[in-house]
Amino acid sequence: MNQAFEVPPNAVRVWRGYRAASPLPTAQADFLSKLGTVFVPATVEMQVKIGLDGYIPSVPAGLPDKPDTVPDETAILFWDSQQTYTDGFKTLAVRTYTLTHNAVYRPPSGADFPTLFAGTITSEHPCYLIDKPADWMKGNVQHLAGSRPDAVPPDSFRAQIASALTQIQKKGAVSGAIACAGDNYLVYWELIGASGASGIDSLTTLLGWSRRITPKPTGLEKGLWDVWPGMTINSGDGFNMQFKRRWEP
Amino acid sequence: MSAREQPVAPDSVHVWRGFKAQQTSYADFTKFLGSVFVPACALLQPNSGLRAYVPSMVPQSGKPATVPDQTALMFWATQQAYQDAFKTVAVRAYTNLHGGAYDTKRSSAQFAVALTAQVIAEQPYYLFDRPVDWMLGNVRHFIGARPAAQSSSDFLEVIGNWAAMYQKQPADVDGALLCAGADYVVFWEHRASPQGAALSLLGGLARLSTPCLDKIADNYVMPAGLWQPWTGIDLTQNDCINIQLARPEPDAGGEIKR
Repeated sequence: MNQAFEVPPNAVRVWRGYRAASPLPTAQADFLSKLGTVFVPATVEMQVKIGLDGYIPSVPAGLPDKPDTVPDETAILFWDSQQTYTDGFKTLAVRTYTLTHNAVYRPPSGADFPTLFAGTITSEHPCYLIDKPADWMKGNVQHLAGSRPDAVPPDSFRAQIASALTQIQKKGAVSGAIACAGDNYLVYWELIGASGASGIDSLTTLLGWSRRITPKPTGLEKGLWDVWPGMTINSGDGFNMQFKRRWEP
Repeated sequence: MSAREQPVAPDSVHVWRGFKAQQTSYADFTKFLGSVFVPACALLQPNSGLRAYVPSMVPQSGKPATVPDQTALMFWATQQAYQDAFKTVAVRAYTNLHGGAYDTKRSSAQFAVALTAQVIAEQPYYLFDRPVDWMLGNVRHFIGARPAAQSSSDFLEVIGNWAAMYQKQPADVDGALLCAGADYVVFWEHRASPQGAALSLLGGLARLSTPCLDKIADNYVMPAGLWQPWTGIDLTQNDCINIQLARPEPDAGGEIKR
């Protein structure tokens, strides 16, 4: 049984990935296949020994009516610390893992560490709302991905989102919350606390297209060198990957 | 501790001829291969059946663009082991690395076949039909360019004639691999010990082409594993190496345990 582990709230990489353009009719299916057979399993198996403490990928790609401006794949990746993540690049495993992505994603795909939310949102700059460590792998996580309504300018969109996040932060009823907004999208994750309260509904009303995803606790069946076709991933899936952290016996 | 011998049939070697991507400088190409690609091959694939790996960088000075920038021999336990390797996450991840570094239209690898008649361009051949453990012993590698005044068809013909002669003579060579393109030839020979190297017939091949590389591969031991801090292999210093892989040891019955 995994123990709870308190990950610092700023030691999380917030990934927003956009599928590379392709004229092939199988491009969407190929993307989902690549995620399931390579990227998601490899993220865990190649990085746990470096200090990965939580990994929650979700796949809005291919959902009906999703605008292209909303990321196709999102993920939050928790580390022992920001330094642990940085040190990972000194190892071959992490350098290799990182370079497997190049052919599949297009700009502006990327990941950043968040900073503590202080009432305003900077475009493409993730923030966290609850300044307390938490173990997201062991909790109930909810994810929201959505688009800016056409009639709302980007600055107003982010101001409205910031206002809703301020309320969520003031209530303090969730155990953790991470958000990132661009000009045209919002991605938001919430670690539900004991009260069961959630701020997702208040954010959903500010979006045009949106989808709420409940990442499913999922363990890997096999190791790096075992014969295994990988995971089956469909549009709209989300996973809270379950694995033994490096410090666990 | 010395590695136990694990001979591989000569038709289970993938012969790679790599050309760098046009937009990539040779310095960046070498750095990428050394920091990620070559060590990843050596660390991610032995557990899936890779039994020997001999990568080489080709000196750029005077090298025609039609000659590969990098070569490699990758010996698999069997051809089936190579196919089965893609059933693992490790090898699928490694395979996804190829994209940016190489000119994928010009770079390729094929399994070697027996040389019994004329040399066909871009088809690798083995010259001796016996299993050999190429990770152990002595590997000499030659790369040459087609003489400018010679046609490609004539070049392939004389290479074929030379290979047929080579097959008849070298008593101490137990493995040899050849591949020729329209503009280049790559050749490797293996001996159990280095004593006979001076007697190599490679001089004949050197007279039929413009030599770009002629080296004995240095044994190279990886100083770190996948998860230890390490900057990678400096391929400017280690430009022709026989990487000493951490291979799973066969059990008493000869079966490889992963």
